[in-house]
Amino acid sequence: MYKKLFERPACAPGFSTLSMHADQMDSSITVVPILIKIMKFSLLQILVIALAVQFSWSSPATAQLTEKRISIEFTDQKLESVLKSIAGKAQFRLVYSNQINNNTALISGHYSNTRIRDILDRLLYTNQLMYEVINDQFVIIKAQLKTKNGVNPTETGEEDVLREKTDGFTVSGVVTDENNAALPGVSIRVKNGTQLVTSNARGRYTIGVSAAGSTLQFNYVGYKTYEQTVNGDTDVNVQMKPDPAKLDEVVIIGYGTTTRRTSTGSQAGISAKDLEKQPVTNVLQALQGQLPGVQVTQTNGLPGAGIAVQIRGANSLGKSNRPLYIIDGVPFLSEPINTSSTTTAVLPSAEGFTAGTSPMNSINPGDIENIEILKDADATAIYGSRGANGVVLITTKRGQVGKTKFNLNMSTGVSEVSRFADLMKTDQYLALRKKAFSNITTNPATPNATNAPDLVLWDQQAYTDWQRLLLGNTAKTHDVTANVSGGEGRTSFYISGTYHKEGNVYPGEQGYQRGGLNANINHISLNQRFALSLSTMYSTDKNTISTTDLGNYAYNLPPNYPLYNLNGDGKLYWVSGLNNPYGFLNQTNDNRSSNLLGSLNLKYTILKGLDIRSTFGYNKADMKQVTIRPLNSLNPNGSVRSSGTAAYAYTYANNYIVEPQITYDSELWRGKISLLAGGTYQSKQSQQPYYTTASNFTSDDFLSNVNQATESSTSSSSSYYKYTSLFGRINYNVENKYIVNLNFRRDGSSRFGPNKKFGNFGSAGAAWVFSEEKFLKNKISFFSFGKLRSSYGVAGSDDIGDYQYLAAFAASAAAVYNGSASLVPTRIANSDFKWESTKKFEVALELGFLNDRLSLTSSYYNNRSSNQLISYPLSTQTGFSGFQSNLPATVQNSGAEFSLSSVNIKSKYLTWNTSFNISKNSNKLISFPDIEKTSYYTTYQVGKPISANYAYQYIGIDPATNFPAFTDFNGVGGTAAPTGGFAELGRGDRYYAGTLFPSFMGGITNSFTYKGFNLDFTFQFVKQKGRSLARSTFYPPGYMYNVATNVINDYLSQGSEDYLVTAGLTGTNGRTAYFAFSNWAASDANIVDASFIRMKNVSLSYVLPGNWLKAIHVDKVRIFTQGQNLFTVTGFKGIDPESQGVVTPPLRTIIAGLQLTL
Amino acid sequence: MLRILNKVIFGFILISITTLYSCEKTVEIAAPLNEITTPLVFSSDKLAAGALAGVYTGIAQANTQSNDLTIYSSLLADDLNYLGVNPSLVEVGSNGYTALSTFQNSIFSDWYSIIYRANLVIEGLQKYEGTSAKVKKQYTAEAKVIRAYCYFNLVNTFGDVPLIKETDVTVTGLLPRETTANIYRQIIEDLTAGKTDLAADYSGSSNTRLGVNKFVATALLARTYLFLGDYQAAESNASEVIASALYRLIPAENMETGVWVKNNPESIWQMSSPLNIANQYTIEASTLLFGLPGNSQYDIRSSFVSLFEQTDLRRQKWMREYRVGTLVRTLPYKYKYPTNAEAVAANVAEAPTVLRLAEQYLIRAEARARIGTNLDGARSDMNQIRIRARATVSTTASASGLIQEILLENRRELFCEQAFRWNNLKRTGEADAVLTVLKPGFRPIAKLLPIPQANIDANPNLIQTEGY
Repeated sequence: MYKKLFERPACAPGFSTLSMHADQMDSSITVVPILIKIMKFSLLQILVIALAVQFSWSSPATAQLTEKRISIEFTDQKLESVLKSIAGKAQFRLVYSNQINNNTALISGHYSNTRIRDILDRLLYTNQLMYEVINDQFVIIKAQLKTKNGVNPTETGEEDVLREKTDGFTVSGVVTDENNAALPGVSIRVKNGTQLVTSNARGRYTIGVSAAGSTLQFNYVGYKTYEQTVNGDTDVNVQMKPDPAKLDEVVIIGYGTTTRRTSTGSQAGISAKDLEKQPVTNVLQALQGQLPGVQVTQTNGLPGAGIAVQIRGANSLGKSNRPLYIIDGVPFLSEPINTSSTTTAVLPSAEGFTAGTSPMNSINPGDIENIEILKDADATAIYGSRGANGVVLITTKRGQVGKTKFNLNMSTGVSEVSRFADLMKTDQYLALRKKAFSNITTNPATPNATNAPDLVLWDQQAYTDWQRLLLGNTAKTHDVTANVSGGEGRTSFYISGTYHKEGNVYPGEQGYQRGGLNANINHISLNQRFALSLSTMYSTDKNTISTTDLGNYAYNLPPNYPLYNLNGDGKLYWVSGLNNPYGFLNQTNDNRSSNLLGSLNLKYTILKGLDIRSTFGYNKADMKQVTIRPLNSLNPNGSVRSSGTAAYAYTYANNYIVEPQITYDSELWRGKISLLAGGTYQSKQSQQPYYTTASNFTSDDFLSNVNQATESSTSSSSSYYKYTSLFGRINYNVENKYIVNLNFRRDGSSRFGPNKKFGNFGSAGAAWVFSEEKFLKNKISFFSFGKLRSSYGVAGSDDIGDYQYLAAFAASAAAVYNGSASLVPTRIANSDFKWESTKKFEVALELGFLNDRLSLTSSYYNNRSSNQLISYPLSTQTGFSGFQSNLPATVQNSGAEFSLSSVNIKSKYLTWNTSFNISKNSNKLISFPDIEKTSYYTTYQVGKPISANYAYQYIGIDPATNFPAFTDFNGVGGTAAPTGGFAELGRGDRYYAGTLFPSFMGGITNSFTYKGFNLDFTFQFVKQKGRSLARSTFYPPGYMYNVATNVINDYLSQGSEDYLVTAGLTGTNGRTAYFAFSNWAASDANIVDASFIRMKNVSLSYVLPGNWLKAIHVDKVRIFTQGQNLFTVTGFKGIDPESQGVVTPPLRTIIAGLQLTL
Repeated sequence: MLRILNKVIFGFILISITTLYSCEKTVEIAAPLNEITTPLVFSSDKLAAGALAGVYTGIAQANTQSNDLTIYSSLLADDLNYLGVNPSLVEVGSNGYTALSTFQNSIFSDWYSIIYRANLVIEGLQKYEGTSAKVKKQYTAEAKVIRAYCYFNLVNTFGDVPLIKETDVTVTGLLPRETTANIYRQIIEDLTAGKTDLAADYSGSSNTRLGVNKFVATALLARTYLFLGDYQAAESNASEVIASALYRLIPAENMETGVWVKNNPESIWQMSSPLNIANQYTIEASTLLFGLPGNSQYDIRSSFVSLFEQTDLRRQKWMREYRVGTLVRTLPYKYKYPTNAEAVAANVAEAPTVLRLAEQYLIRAEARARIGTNLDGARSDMNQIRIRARATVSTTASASGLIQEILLENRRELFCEQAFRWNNLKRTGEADAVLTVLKPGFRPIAKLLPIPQANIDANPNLIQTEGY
């Protein structure tokens, strides 16, 4: 057999952590990641490139190595020892067979500044030997061939005529996938050897083998490792078989990679393959129903709407519970750009009703290769203070070495509101209004032009279905994405461009547009010790959607409300108390934002197993907003105006990050140890150079020109954020059976006051792959994989505003008093608040059956967050309504997650896969010492969830008063006038009526492939309680607002219209009737089931058969149609059980498109 | 070439690792552009003037100026009727508020927000070095007078309220309500300090009447003593103001706008325009006159309008009639310019007035009438006001008759200003009788507004006013 000599200490065969594993692993498992389509990349993508380099046979004459000149002198030494000396001096690796040992002759020589080629030629030729140089690093010594070999196995055609058949030969062949299509990027290595090559674009490979009987290993992510012993065959064609369990797929984790098989942490992810089936604008929407423990809620159906992502429940009482987003290793500015500065001056944007403008909108879903959600302590503690709410790791697409590919994806589609509330028609509405005015028991009054224009002035027959008019339009969507990727040798690239345009369901031309460019390049040095990867992503979007959600107006505008003046002058009609929705449509809102994300990853291998690397990231996001409200769009019944108003704002944020790291991998006893140490330095600056509001323009024609405003006020603001960390990880893996993983991180953040800036975080995780144990391995035929893992650790959160510790004044814009610009205190400063920390525990069982065709993961977790960072509510007697502080409160989220994926059918033409997930989280405030002495005594109860329905208990109509009655828990105020405090504490009549959090949720996806057809569909399900439409209806029946018929019917069926219907607060019972309704609406009578099952997504595609296309040089043509939110099964009587309330609900979208690959 | 590149990169990475080890320094950040740290603010006279200006702008805010005092109190009392449909204003106008009402939130928080700013100025001037002794003394006194003014309004709106004299929230956040008597004690202490320490002219406020001086403190003392029933002190303080050469009543021929323009000699303390110092109009006008001619939300009660003689200039010049169909309605027309453009066009700069000399005459008149030893003086003081308004001169001789006349004169002169009518109704004990007749839902507890529920929620030591 061959021996390996490492004469030169600093040369590693690969240079990454993973390739070291690959080298040292003895089993059939391999984790070598190779450049392919569906695998996952990371900030370690360099390693991919390192291994993707195609090895090529080089003739001695052309190799650079052999051109090197050395000086050497030797006397009476064996050939073996002389060659070792040369290898040492010239820094190459020597590979030779035993037969060289047979050469015992002693030789002497003296070479001064001589080319290695000449020395080797001289020494070897005389000994009937020859050599070969591979990849400029390896010199293989072998016996000379006696005869010429006519076969030319190499791509280069540089056949070595002296090659010997029996001892050192090349093997070549073609690797194909299960469909007999060429599989590029497969890594092929000689088992126990050092050589490694990858298959080219046509699946072809060539590898040098030093002896017959060697075993070749073929690895490809998503496919089972294939082994083939070669006994002198020069042609070995291999068909790879898919590995359904993907156990050995490379999975990105914080600052590294792992595999599903050996990971100790909890994470779930989706890949480009799943993403491309969903016609979403914001990639986060695609996560809905897909991953256990991940709750994605869309706040409304407008393009670019805010999306709230919550991983394993809400940990914080006071903060956003927003996960940390990392894109290609760089933390992404995930907070809304226009609210990130210290100022409260924020122009509204269409997206920002509740969740804020999501910068994630600027990422083209088509550029994303993979999204991984990290959940437990083991996976998130490496992100220390920012990992408490989970981490979303996003990896963008990379180029592949090989044929240059052009890929074009075009689609177009339509979106619409799929559900409306059933509202009163004009006759029913007017009858109720008349009843209200004639009701002698509530407020008898005469309708007049002021109190009842709907009865007196407006057309009594007119009817407008406001929901259809305002929200019932069809929004068109167009999407084009093109990318070019490829590469050669040690360099690869990927460039993509995208354009996305989306209309709105409102009348008019409002819309959302996005354009983007994404480019990356990867390179590795010739000696494979240095690698770099540079990626830049730029996108810009423009959103002209109204700043006001018309959903509310569509709901409550009286059905006979006239849009235009009754005198026919064509002007919008206004009346006190109501806003004309077309006014909002006349307001122009122009939000333009751009986002530049650049990252550079460098890596250098110092010694075998010892790498240093650094990530440099830059992220700039900006947003320019212009809101123009012409006079004809403003309700004149509000203030005196001579012109319209306008507001202009610009906000930007710059974010830099440097993360140097050092990793060391080595064998230790019977296992492998991997060490990581690193640091972070991050600096972010946000500025709002101007925020200007202007009014009193000389004319409405000048609204976009602030100079023409006689009244304007401008403010500017800024904030800084700095963040620094040291972190480390120790991972020890014994025979892929016992794995221990320890993380540590020390973080410092500028968000905390002096002496409170630093915090320590860490975790310990362990996994036991019991299916590797002898007593199980290959013993039970249907059982293929079993792993038990657990972790415990602490992660934190600093997701609070900047400067909360700083006592300061702000200059208020125009307020000058007596010659001095007025300075106003900005906050109550607190220099004592410290890190919030979340202790996370998890235990999980992962099982695989039937060769992993069926795999199950079930986990239980318990997370406890303490030192709650909150804006502590204060009575305004202090001058402020709150200040930043810690609470001793502890919030617990515990729950279970279960996911299953199975390959139900797998035959030549038909495959059927199913994946299913379900998760249950229960949230509880488990302790809060001295809560009765705090302002939270009226907000939270120990032992109850932090988001709960505290409601009056409705007990029916009191026959004595004819108004709703409620249980008088505390004996104060009687049953007609419930009081607001908690019944459980004896302070009021609101009792705990259940949580607002879902009791469970999940999704099921089925995927069918038949020949070129693919059909995918996902159902999302959520079991939850919600608030009925009555909770969004602020006025009792009889007021000048429309109401859903079911709310009216529910309410009026309780008692007598004579009492319940009212038109105002005055009169006999006007006030009583008004409060009766609002109390009833806030009672448990209106906590209803809001569970739903939604057909979240359907995707049908067809790939045209390849042989049609070859003639026209097209690789692939795929046509597809996709649907989002096609239908919803729910008992919820409101507009939408997900968004609830009366906002524009999530839209039903159907698109069709074409994908073309050249 | 590659080797050189490697070395460069290697060095680069090493440098980036070593930069991390400078610890605390790495997470220090500069203050935001738009903020100045508190120690710096109180390190110079100039910046401290900004902090004081912040206290004044607090009072000048649109909300504080209009809703918190004039509009709400005029509706709460019997000056104004609200015609619109805003449920909160309907509630205010009918005195139908409950513990759950929210309109009073801003009244409570606005005054306390100004108190916080004033306390911060008082503390900051003491705590930090850098301001001159003169500024320390003057600004502290100004802040105290403003604080007293805020408490006067709070105590007359809510009754017992927490007494906040410092900025440490760990103390102030949990303070319970303090008795009205103690609040008044603090008001008098602060005003007395202001009277002692402030200049007897307007030099401290660049000779404009936008700043607080000795006579502002004195005039407020007169008002406070009147409310407390200390008529001797009220009389003497009012006399000091009246005796000052700085002030005189605007004559009848100029009273239409003369009483409301900036820096007029009748005014003792005025606010600057809320939004911008350059503005020449008032929020009162823009709120009350809004919607004219056909769509105004307000109407002066006809029972009140009928209390004026036809010749009374206040009826003619300070009220404005408008017609809605066949209905005739009346609006307050003291401040005349609802927009800046209109004020600029008329070349008039109006400024909201907190204190003016007419009130001092009426305070002294009432004090003298109640003391009973100088009824002629009392009548004479009241007649000053009547004469100016071209109303019939009083010849009433009895003290009780005079008191009634003076109170009526007070109502006619000071309608829809500050919270005079609402406060006087309560001070004189007439509120229940008067308002029960006018407003069917009126309950005695309505004389005090409920403490906002949000504050009770946030401070477990706050107890709701009895009856709510």
